[in-house]
Amino acid sequence: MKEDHYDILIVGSGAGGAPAAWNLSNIGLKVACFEQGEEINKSQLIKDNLWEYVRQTKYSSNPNKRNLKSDYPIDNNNSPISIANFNGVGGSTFLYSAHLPRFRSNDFKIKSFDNVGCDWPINYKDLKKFYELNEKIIGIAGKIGDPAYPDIKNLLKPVKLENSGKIISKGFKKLGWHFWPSYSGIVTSKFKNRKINSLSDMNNSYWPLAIKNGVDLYTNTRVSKIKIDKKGYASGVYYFNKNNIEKFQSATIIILACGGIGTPRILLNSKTKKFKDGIANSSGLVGKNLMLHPLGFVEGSFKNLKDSFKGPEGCNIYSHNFHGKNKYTKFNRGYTIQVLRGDNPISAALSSYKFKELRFGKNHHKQFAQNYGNKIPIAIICEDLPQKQNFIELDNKRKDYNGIPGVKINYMLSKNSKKMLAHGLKKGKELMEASGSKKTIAYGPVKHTGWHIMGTAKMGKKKTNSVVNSFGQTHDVKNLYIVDSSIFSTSSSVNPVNTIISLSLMITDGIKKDYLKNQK
Amino acid sequence: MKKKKIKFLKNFLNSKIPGDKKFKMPKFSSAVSIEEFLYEVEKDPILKKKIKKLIDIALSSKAKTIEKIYLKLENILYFLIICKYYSSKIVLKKLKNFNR
Repeated sequence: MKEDHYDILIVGSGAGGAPAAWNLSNIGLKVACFEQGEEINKSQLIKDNLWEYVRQTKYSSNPNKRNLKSDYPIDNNNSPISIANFNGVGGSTFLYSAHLPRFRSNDFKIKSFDNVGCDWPINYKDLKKFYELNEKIIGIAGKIGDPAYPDIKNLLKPVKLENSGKIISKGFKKLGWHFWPSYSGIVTSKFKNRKINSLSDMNNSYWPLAIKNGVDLYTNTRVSKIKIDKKGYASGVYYFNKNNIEKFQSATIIILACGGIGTPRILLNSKTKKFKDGIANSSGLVGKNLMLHPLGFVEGSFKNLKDSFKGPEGCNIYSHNFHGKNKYTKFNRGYTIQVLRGDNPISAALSSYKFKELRFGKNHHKQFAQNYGNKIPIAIICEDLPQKQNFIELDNKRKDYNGIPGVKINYMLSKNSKKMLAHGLKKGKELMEASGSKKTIAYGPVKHTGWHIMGTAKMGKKKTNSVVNSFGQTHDVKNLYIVDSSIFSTSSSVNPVNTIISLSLMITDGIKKDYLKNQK
Repeated sequence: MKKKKIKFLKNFLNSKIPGDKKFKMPKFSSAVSIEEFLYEVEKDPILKKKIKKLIDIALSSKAKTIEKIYLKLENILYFLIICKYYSSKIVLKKLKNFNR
């Protein structure tokens, strides 16, 4: 290590860790970030046209399939949804599709509005300026004026709707439902030194700035435990270096940014005689209240469409028609409809094979052509409510490369989620039919869609019913902070990355203020 | 078993995209055995080992279990071939699908 002691030690380099590193290094603090994975040159893979290939193989979103040294085993057998993630510089944003909406104001207060779940101890106004800051730094394309987000102003010009977007727009109009071009992390016009059409992620936004500020980013460095001193403060972390040798690094403040599974994994694994259930866990809620956004899939086939693979990967158009409380439905809260782009060649071939529409042999190419470029998928993203019976735990039977326990997922869909999903699939079919689909399929929950992992170290006012306070500080250990999706009190029904980044900026701003105040 | 597998691989590898007489499959089209094919298609040692093991089991198994293993093997091979084939530059050019 370059330093014996750091002011700030961040664990994890993804959507929580990268903005934290940049923000805290802005005032000259000595900041280190420990990342268990490698730094991978994504733009080279795209340039070599290998991106889709490696996403299916070496860099699959399934950690058990990928099985890199940087991954840890995740047992999904007790869950209808399996975990998708990536461990490397940039975290899961290495693989994400950069759909970056904000939470809506009522998403932070669902107990007050709808008498379900719980309220966050912060509100939309607290986060607003950090959403704006992030959008300025990372680069987000979209259309200003959506009644769902009247205060969003600073956007790059929207991504083209392409033919598939135009087709589905007609369906939305016919049904009279809300729809709007999505907020995509895609550079559509001159923006800093970025290439047009490049995807905004941590590695082309926050990390170059943080490194320039002098942040020490250590790759292949896996934290196993946090050490607590006699006074109850975190004194540093135990970690394994790339040669699998265990070491210790001290720091004044520790920030966990390992996501909804990685963060509780470290907290639970840090158990001692004094903290038998892990650290920062006096509430017993570390690992509990797991929320995963159950996802429904609806796909329509269209007669004269040949290029549905064009458009933003994450979301072309979204609809909040059934988002939040809806008096016409028999479930609490709601879902977002997201229009996706059609499959790339590899996914189209694999999917057609799965549905027995494609085989080897002389008709292979003909069958492929019948299933490529003419399908428009939509995703139904359901707001998951926090429930203690949905939780993660350490799996001592399966360990990672360094001998640290893996994770077991214990998750089931609530009655509310099932009703919501069924409603979403039905409405998705209606949308497809209104758009002119000649054949529509719909199913859910889709198994391998556990990207949005939230709630496992929730934020709250009281020590008895939450893990961190509204400053992201753990109630039990005053110099231990969390800046990832594990602190989400509730889940909304939109993608969480913009909110993770904004929370990280907000929390680290608080740390900066405290530091500067103490300096005086 | 082996002959059957080679036959379907050959059929696939010798097929052409409709309407394009000039089009040729990527260079691995000359592979004639599963082992050779795998060597060219996939360098991943873990997957390769897994497939080789399956082939060995298939070749030494009794008739009852062969069908199950055959299906598993076909799925894995299909996955590998598709991934490699549909990411080759020549195919993506044909499908007008570059740098998504």
